[in-house]
Amino acid sequence: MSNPDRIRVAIVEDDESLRRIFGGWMQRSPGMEFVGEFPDAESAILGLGSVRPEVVLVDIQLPGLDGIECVRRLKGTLGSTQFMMLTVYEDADRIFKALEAGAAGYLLKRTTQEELIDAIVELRKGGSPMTSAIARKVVQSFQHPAPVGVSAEMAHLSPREREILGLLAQGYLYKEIASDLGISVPTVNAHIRNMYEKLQVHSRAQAVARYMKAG
Amino acid sequence: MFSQSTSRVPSRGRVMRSWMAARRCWVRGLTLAGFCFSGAVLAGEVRVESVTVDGRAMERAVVEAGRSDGLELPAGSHRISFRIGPVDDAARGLRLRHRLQGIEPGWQESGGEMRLSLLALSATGDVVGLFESAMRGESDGWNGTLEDSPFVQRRESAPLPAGVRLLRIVFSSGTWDARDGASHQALGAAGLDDCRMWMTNGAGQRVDLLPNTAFEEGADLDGPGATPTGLVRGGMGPKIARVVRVREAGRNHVLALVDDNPRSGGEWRREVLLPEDLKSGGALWMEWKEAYSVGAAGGRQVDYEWVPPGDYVFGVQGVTPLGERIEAEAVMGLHVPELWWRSPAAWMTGLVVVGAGLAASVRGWTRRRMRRELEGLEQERALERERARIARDLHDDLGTSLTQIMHLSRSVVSTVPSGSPAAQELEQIHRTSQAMTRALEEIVWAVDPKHDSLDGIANYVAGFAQEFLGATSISCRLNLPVDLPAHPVPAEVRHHLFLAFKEALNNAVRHSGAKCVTVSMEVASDGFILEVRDDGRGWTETLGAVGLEPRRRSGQGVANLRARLERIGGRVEIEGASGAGTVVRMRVPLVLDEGGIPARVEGTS
Repeated sequence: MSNPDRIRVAIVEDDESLRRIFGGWMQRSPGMEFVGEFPDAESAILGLGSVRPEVVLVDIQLPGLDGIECVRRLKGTLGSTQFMMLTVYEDADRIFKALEAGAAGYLLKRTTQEELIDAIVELRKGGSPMTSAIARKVVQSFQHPAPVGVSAEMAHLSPREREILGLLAQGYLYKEIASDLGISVPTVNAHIRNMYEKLQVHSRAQAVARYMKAG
Repeated sequence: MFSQSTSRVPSRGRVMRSWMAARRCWVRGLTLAGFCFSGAVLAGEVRVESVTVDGRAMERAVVEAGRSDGLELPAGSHRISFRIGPVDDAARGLRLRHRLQGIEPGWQESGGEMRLSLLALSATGDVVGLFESAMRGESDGWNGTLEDSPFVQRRESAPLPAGVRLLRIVFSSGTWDARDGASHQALGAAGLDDCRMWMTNGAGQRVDLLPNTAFEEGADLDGPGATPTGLVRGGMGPKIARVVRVREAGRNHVLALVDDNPRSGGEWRREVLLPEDLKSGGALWMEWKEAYSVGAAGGRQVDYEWVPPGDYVFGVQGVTPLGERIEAEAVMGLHVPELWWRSPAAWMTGLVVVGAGLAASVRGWTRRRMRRELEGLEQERALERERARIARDLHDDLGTSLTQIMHLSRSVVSTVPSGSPAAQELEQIHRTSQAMTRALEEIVWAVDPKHDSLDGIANYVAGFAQEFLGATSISCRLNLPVDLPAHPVPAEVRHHLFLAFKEALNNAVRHSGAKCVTVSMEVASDGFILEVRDDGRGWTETLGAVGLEPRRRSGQGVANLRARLERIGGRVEIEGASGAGTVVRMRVPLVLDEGGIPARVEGTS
């Protein structure tokens, strides 16, 4: 029997031992319901639809289709699901690509049990982690014109978003940004999630544009 | 391989002998019809116009005198680009395909593709899902014409997107691409048959979605305006979308795209409306049979990112727009000798084990030793590829295993009595593996050539400073330019600079009593500056006069810092006044030579 208060979580990780370790942590967490584990993107793409998870941990590097492509394909079909990437080390380029594909955050595989559980809960509550290195990549990305087919409101960052992004790039913590700008931390999170959404729209528009043109 | 000759330094002798032996070995050559190297290799209608190796155009000088049977390249792995094209205007309509025997088993075609795509649309017309299968080159068993070629079975599946009402299948040639703003000039013929689509609903039942799967129903199927039931023709060149009668047993009409016009495209479309009460959680399946030969006309560049030592034959072949082979093929031989230091397997094992340190020192070592003898040779490229491989291996294998040890040692500790010797030892294993995991991250970063840039440094420095200072009560401020010039920074420089940076950051945290540490980066024409500034007591006070009577620990740190910067040809400036904080400014020179390769930074070690 599923409990609506518990977060439905799943994992896509090819290394069996890590899958068991992380799966075990989530299984033992009282706030979570562990609904599925998959060794590769292909099985996750077919199987995740029927288990309707709210948060999926996805290894960024998988055999066959990689984790980034896995998220890209699932993002459109599992509307309300959040994807959190798992990565061995902090490679800003790949993490940024995953965020563009639709991921909402990432975790290093050396993360502790407490950090992992906290990060999932935080993500479900609307949290959106963004480090300084990722903020720099977002700034770089918005310096290019938006692709054809992106609506005016999604094409650019709002002044407030630019302000927050600037502070993030300068190493400010969320609470420092909140107090500097006189807003709450959840508001900071909402702005960041909005920025991620714009990034995703841009990356998706590039892929879709050629079909719409032909129609 | 290593023959008898004497030399002052054994290893240097080995370099020369091995290289000379490799050159002598290249006498067997390759007997190639129609080959001549006078700036271009041609045979009838298609040719190799030029060859570029590691970014440098090959000149005749590299072909050894009296031998026109091949091109001898410097030792080691290379990035090689061939410019291929038609010989004259008459051949301009030909499709070109290429092959590097020794690397590729079959002919490759680039530049044009046809696609079978599936778009999932919502009730409001938004695209909620997209799947595409590209047809490029030849399908298995292609026989020169669509009529005579076997059809190959394909099957794909995807989750059924939420909110989908309409599925649109598009079989198209020459679609305009928004990504590069260019038209894909596809030429060729492609056929589709037995095209089935079904979904499995939440209850696991199969629901077929397409009628007329074999395209045998329809109006005037053997006439010029043939249209199978349920399909719509589209595109700029509607004559491209056709129905073709094939000869394969059991197959009659197939849906086809026959495109011999590079500036036009055509397509077949079909749409399926899905029931409104669709439950989520189902999957969509598509199965079809296909045969195709698709490519593009015109000259183009063919790039091989990594060609390791070996013997190769590069060939270009002309094909008619619709996929018939003609007797037009140009070939050229290539010989790439083995790098001397690569041959003994033991070397590689050593390289992997010692990782970054050795990679850096081998780099310096090979540079110094080989410089005179092998001036102009591009070992750097080969080394770069080795580094990428080492980084990948360290990351994939060691990284994952270490993470496992780290997590397992933590989880098993709860099964032994707390405070027992076993518990303490497990805790020790946990801490050690945790430290190793972090050390490995640093090594992987330093070794991986994809971070060989100012931007790579900025990202890593930002991440490290945030994590390091995040564990303290000191605020972290970063002042790193968003747009840094795309300037390569050698791994050796990054390695030493990063260790120096860690030292500076560590000193600021341990000794300054600062509230805030600011990390800045600034680029000038002759290099860049990485600065760590704190608002603490000032190092001069903690250290006494810097360089005169430093306290042992911090003094050692400062000496290390200086040594690190000197190793990479840079220098460090430390400014500090009592109570006014400390600034550690690390200056790193970087100079571009005319080839766009950074000038070598001279080591003093």
